Amino acid sequence: MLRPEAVAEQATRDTARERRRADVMVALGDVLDPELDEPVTDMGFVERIDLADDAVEIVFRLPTYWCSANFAFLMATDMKVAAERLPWVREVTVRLVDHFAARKINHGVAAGQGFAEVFSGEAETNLDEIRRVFRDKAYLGRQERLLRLLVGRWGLERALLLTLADLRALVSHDDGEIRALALRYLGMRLHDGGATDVTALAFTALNGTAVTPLAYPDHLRALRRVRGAADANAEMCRLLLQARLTHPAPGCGIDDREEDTA
Amino acid sequence: MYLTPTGEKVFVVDAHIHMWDARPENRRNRYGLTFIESFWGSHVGMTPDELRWSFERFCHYGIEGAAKDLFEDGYVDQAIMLPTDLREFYVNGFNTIDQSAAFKAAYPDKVVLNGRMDPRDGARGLDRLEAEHAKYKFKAVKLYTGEWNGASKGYSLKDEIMTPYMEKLLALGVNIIHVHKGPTIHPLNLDAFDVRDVDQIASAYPTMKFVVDHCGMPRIDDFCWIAGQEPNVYGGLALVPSFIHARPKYFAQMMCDLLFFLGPDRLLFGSDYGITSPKWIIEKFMAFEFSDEMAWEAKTQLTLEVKRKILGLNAAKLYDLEVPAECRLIDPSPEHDGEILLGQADSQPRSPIHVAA
Repeated sequence: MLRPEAVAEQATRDTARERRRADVMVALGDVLDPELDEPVTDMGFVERIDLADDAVEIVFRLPTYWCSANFAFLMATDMKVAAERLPWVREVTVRLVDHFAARKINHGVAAGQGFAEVFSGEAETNLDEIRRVFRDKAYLGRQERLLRLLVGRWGLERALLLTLADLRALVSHDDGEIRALALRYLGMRLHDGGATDVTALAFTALNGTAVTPLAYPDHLRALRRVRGAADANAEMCRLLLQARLTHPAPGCGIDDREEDTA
Repeated sequence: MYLTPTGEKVFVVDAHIHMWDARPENRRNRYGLTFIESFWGSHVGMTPDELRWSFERFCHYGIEGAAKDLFEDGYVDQAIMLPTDLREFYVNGFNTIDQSAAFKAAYPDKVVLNGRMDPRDGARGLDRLEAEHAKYKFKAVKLYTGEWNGASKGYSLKDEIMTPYMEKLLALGVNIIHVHKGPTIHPLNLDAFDVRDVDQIASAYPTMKFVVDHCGMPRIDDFCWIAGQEPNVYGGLALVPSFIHARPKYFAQMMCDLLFFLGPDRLLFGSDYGITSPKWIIEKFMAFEFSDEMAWEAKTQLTLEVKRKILGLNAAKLYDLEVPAECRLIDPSPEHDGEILLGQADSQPRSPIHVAA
């Protein structure tokens, strides 16, 4: 039998721990799968968050054992950075499990190494380049979702005349769907979309030029290409992760054995 | 052969099937298990519950199993086999040309056997290609750019090692190249699965036909960009139609984009058997239609003619396979196939991105 005081202390500690765990989850919500442009938390990749006072361990699992190492590495790095931003956190360990390059990635991220260092001789691609390619796609994808909605509501002419000031106003619009899409696009637009004065047009091509009704048909082709590809891919990842967790093949999948490329 | 409720016959070519052996005794290492586990995830995730196989059958279904699933139940008239070695993971290989040849020997009139090659194998690989071609007389080869080979974890079609192999294929009269460009699986280097290397080689070899298997999925957008410019690039649909049950909305989206950029004449149906089986995919595909908005965006409805082309006629033309007279198109000119006349579905012309949520 524990003393009542001890029980109360334990409950307080548990509550504090749950609060901290929730803190970490919220922080990880800012980490996007670079290819899917979806938060890793929404994708169900984060399996467990273990706490020991101010040390955090994040365990994550991808949809297959063979998911690309470069994306896994980017996500692991970003998770570590995001969790380290929390004021109470002293130390973060990120652990990818059940993946062909788990050991290399976990060691590399812990040591703060770059991808090329970790996979020297195996990878030539600069990850910054990959990041940029997928940021471009994310930019167009987010723009397309908002633009589609606005064209549906207001017509093409008015939607294309939207300025950056108008876009900011949409972030506090009454309609929740508009709010969410406007905020996601605004984040990209300010970083990657060209002129940022309040009178600049909100919808710009990748090179920062405004999308005019005249340039619209060509721009539409670029939008069409990225539209749906990331969505469909995200669906595939969800499908595979779900299958992996609920119907693991006998003898593999749901354990913590870490393999490495020999 | 698929019969529509109104009695039309649809000739079916499954342009993407395998005959693999992932049984425990054939696994060289743990990768042999995890590789088939990834396939199994697709099978489970995409197949209707009541049609799922046991994991044991999934590892090895054998010649008679495949014949039943494809020819007896699956409406398939011709099945095209795409071998992959994967000897790094499997003792006798995963889905080699020899394993596939046994299926061809059992059903010579129904199976199209393709070869394979790996340009990293240098002079010996060229000899092997020549010997296998002399033995099997294939019209096409399969390239798996992400395959491990010794220290290499993948190669690009832009690599110079490709040249002697391409010239050898020209000399042998092999003019169809299947390139696996599929989901984001294991190559460390984006280049190993990046679809953009197809662009250069397709321009350099205009008499060759390049089938991009899985349409570069998930980078369908990059694939559409290239295929839109290169008339000798085809979309091998395998995996795309497999979405039709579990994620019909995304299936529609992908089909819509592919039709918009490539049109209906360069898309080849594939079930990716045994990951998914043609029977249920074809039944659902024949029943599938675009919404008016989707058809407007795709520039075509999924008419019977369009479905016929995708399910068999395009592959038959590419591979020069004989099609029974009653399955041919009445009017072979593609000009008006399935085209929607403006104003028919909607009296107001509208922006293609205007789609009701």
